[in-house]
Amino acid sequence: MSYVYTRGMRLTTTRDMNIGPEGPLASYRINDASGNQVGTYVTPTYRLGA
Amino acid sequence: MTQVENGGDSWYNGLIVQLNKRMSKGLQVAFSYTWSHAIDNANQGGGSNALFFDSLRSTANGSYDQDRGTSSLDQRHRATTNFVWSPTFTKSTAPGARYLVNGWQLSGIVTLASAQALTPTVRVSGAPFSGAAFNTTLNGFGGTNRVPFLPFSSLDIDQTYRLDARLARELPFTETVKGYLQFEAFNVTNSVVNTFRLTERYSASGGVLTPTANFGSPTQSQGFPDGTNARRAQVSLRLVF
Repeated sequence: MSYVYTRGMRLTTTRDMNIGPEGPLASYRINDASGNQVGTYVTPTYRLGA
Repeated sequence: MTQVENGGDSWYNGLIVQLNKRMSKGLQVAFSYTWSHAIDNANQGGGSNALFFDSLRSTANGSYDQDRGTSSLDQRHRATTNFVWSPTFTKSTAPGARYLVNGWQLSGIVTLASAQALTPTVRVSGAPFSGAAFNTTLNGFGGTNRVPFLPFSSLDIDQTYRLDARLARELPFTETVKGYLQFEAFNVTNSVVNTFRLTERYSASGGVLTPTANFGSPTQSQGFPDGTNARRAQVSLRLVF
C-alpha cells in the first residue's frame, strides 16, 4: 500500500493585459426545458472602454 | 495582448493498494486499486501541453481561485486484476498428455474504473449584453466557456468494465523449439465505453439561459490503436527457440 501527494505550483496561466477591471453586473434568467424560470445567475462584466 | 504568467496551482492525492499471489499450483493473480483526486485552479490546464501560445482560460481576468476544481484528467477509482492459470491436468508424459491434455494457459486482465468527466459549457449567441468586451462568455471576458455556476468535471463520460483474455496452447515441437497458439479477445464482454459527450449545457441569448436538449449525449468511443474500444479478437502463433 502506498500514498502519493503531489503539489504543483506556479503553473502557467494567462492574463489579458488590455481589458479593464470588472464592471456592472449582468443578470441571466435560467430556464428549464419547458421555459420556466428556475434560477438567476448574476455576474460582474467586462465591457469595452472600461 | 495576453501575458503568460504563473498563477496556477495543483493538488494530487493518490492511494494505491496492490495484492500479489505468486505462481503456485499453476495460478498467479495480481490486484491493484488506485483512489486518486486531481485538483487544479489553472482551469484544467493540466490537460494541456500548451505553454507559450495559449489563449485565455480563466473565468475572470487574473483571478484563479474561482476556477479551482477537479482536473480534466482526474479518475477517482481504478481497479485492475490480472491472472495467469496454467493447470497441470495429468503428470503423465505420454504424447496425448503432452500434446492435448496439458499445456493450456488462460490469462486475463479485468479493468474496472470510474468515469473521467467533462465540464459543462455554455454557448453565447450574439452579444451577451450591451458593450461586452467579448461575445463568447457570459461575463464578456472571453475566457473559458464553462458554465460558471456548475462545478468543473461534473459531466461523467463513462465507467469502464473490461475483460481482456487469452487462451494459449503450448506446442512442444522439440526440446528447444516451442510454439504457442494463442487466441486473444479484447473487451470480451463488448462493454463499449464512450470517450466524449456533448458538453453544451446551456445556450445564452437575450439574457436567458436555455438548456440544451442533447446535453450529455455520447459522441464517440475511440480507442487506440483501432479507433474503437468495441470487442476485438485475434489468433496468433508464437515461436520460441
